Amino acid sequence: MVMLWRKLLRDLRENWGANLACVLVIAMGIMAFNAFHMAVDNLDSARQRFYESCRFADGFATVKQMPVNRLSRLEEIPGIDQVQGHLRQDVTVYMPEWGQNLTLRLVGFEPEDTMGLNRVLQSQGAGLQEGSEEVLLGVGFAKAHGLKAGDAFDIIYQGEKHALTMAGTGQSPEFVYLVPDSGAMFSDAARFDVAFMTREALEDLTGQEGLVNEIAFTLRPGANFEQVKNQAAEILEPYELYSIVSAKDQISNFMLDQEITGVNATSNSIPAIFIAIAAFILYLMLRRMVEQQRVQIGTMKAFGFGNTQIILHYSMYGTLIGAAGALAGSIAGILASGAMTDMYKLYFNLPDLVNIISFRYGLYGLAFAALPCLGAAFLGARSVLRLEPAQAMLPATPKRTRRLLIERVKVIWEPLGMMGRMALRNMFRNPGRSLFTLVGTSMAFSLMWFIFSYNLMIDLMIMNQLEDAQRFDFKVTLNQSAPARELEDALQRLEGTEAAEPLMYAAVTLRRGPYSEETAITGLPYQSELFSILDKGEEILPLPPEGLVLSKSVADKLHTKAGQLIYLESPYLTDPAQVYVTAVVEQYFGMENFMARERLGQLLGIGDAASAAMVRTSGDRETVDRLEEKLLLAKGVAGVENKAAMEKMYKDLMAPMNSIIFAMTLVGVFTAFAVIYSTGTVSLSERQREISSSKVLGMTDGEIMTLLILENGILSFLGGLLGVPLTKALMLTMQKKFATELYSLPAQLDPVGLIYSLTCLGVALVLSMLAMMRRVRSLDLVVVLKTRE
Amino acid sequence: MAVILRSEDLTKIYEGEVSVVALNSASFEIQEGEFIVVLGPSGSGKSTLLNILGGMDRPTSGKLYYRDKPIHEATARQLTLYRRKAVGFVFQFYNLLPNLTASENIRLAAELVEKPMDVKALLDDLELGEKADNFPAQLSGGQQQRIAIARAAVKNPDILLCDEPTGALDFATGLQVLKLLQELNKKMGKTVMIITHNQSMAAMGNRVFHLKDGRIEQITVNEKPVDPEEIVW
Repeated sequence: MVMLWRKLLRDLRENWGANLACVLVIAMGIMAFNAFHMAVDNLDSARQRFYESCRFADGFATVKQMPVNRLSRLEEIPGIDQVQGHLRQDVTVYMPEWGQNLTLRLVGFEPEDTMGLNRVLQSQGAGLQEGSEEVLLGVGFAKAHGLKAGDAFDIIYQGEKHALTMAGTGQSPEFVYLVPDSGAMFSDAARFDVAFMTREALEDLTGQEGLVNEIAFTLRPGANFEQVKNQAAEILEPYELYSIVSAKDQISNFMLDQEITGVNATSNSIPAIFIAIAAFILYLMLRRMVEQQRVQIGTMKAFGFGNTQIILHYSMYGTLIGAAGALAGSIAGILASGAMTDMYKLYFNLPDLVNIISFRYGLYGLAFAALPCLGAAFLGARSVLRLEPAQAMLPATPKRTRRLLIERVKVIWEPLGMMGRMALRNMFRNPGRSLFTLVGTSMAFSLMWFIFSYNLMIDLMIMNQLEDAQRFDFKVTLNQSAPARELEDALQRLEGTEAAEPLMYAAVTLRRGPYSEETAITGLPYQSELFSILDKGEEILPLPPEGLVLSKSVADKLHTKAGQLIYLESPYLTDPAQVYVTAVVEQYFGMENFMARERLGQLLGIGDAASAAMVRTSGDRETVDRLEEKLLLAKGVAGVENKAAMEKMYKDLMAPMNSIIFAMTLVGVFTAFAVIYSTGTVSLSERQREISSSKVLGMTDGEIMTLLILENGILSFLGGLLGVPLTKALMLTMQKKFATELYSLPAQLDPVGLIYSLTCLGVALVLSMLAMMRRVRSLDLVVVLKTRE
Repeated sequence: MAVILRSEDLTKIYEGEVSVVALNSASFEIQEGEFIVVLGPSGSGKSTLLNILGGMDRPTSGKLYYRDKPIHEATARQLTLYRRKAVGFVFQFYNLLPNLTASENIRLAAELVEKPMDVKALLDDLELGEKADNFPAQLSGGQQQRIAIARAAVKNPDILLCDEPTGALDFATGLQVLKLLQELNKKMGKTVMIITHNQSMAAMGNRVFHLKDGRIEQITVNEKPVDPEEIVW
């Protein structure tokens, strides 16, 4: 049926604007489908290869320290196969030009042990010399700081500088994704990475000979981790067991898993939304088209074309658009999957993480797009089947028009004017289509507002904390706690210190009834000058002199609220202590519990102790730099956190988001445009005759456009209104989905974002109206009015 | 000569708020190669008759046979095949597919059958070879109707059913169309049925069916059908 194909192609060309919009909407969905699936496959397969070749362990335990020769006791547990321990020590890297927030996690290993667990894969440089202070640096850190094999750099351990030499780079399956223990939203290898040293070298450096603090083990086939865990915990308890987790919960693997499952979950649902929008547009277009081509259909039937041939002809219209969108989307998806894989390389430290193009997803995507489009076109055109050829030759019975309910309300109806009334009647003449415009624009609007609320989200999560709540310049962490008064005096005496306030971090177990939670309490100075507790990221919550301010996530886990009594256990205490919850604070990032420092010391029976301090500086740059160096090198100081550097780090990390925000905004504007324009053209073609008659009667193009703008403007505005609860729901869903131990997203919408998204919706409206204006202008009155409908 | 169409009491009633009897007990036989003119005022049931004969519509009651095959009992699929193989339609408003060219419109129909006529030869015969690549909007009414006739003829059907084929044309152009139809009837032996409300065309037919209020009031026989040129209207 060559001629029918020709007709199809010409039909497609005739309606190219709306078709292109449809193709692009589909292409966006299929691009996401291909890119997400391929990038995640790349990540997953690189992980599997790495885990297998370097023997990723099944279980991981962290203790304070333990003699290496005691590890054999773990091997006696029936379910355990192989056990291995190593030393791990976080140290500060001394690179003043970077601020002082650089940390390396030094990990000891045996380069010769080829049967070990979590083996280190050396990716560059020469092997490590026994006992020398050489390291295999994390790839990301080395790259970020331009370090090559043979380069030396300083680290600070317990107040002393040590020079380390980079021998090469190394990767281990244990550290694919790295975040410091203190928590961070993203991994940032420039500031926190791993470095591998020989076991002896690390023991020499830290003076922890024959000791380990990290234990990894594998399970025998069929062994149950939970059972093994309990037995292992018993053996490890005397060495101050911090945690024991299965591979599934190991932090690096957990983060990888989260990314993989998260993207996997959206890799079908996001494209589905786009395809659904396109399918509905197609449905409307086809429904209109078969109405318009009624006589042609009748003629074809009269000539002996069967129903199957004709319905197939119209269904192909949708299928071709779906296929074109899938093709364009697949090509774009291949490019995007490359970009996504490159992005993953920044966050995930995997050897041979490469972009593998899988045409399989191109095929799936084709089916994913083309089948719904075929279905939509079929549904749109299915009236063809019922049409008897003889009846097709007669003009269609006009649609019944009824008075609207609103017409009876004279107060509203009368002042609307002719234009307003016509616009309203038209909206109700085709309620399905109006509803689609409404839903489509509200979805686009929600997407935009959600994206525009991102900056507020980051402010609430991080920036307010750094800019408003933390009014210090440095945070000094000690190796061991010290009397607060002495610490404060010592800090005050240093040149450049304007104010100093000691803090106490205490690890505790909180209990209430059957619920318990291992967490920490931050002891803050009562009426602190340098720190405020922020509730919901913006409101200051004054620290009460007594009692405990609990983080909401901890309070939820303990099923408690302000005013209730809970129990507190600590290594300092022989019996649990009781404490009142005086307030619950909702935090989006980190989960800190607060108490007045002195009160905390009393409760734990350790007096007014401190394990850290906040320092505000004064004086010129040089004085401050000197102070920072002095603090770093001071005995007993574990680390110094430079707040300005931290702020800069977050700002640097957020910078790439701007291009994502921009891209998503474009998607939103385009989706709104596609919806308004395509429904607009359908309605325009339906009303060609009416509009032409109006033009003949003397209505100007401008007046006709006013009518169309009124209609679509009202619908878009209503779409925006409907979008408000929709955005809120989207926010809450995202909040639920992405809440982790470390952070939760604030479900707050930015009022400024509302203005932006309304503006963008307006832009989409104007663009679609301009495109329609072209059609109204080019309407050939004679042809339209002469053609028999 | 063989009977190509035979009807017995063909009746069509349109049910609605008021039932309309569009065709009332029409019984007749049509011989192969006949030229029939169906005459009657608007609303007399001409189009209904034509639609039923062409398999475009079904009778409410009565029987219709095409070469002894019962069309009134045909399934939808059989009706489609009947329209495809046996019948060629010509409409008052030509009904060419607007986004196919003249030759493409003809080829569209040609693709439906196994042994179609040669499209190019047909266009040349109609002296429309030059217009082959024009779209319908670029053709005059007469040209469009001649293309429409070619489209009906290309399938090589036994019967050509023409619904007011000159209704939208001026006299001279209408004449060309009628000549073409007569040629198809005489040279190629096609059975042709023309519907018209134009009395003067009656002279062209071998027989004339006079319709009024859905009934065939009279069937007259022309012993000597005239050439279209001799008709004046």
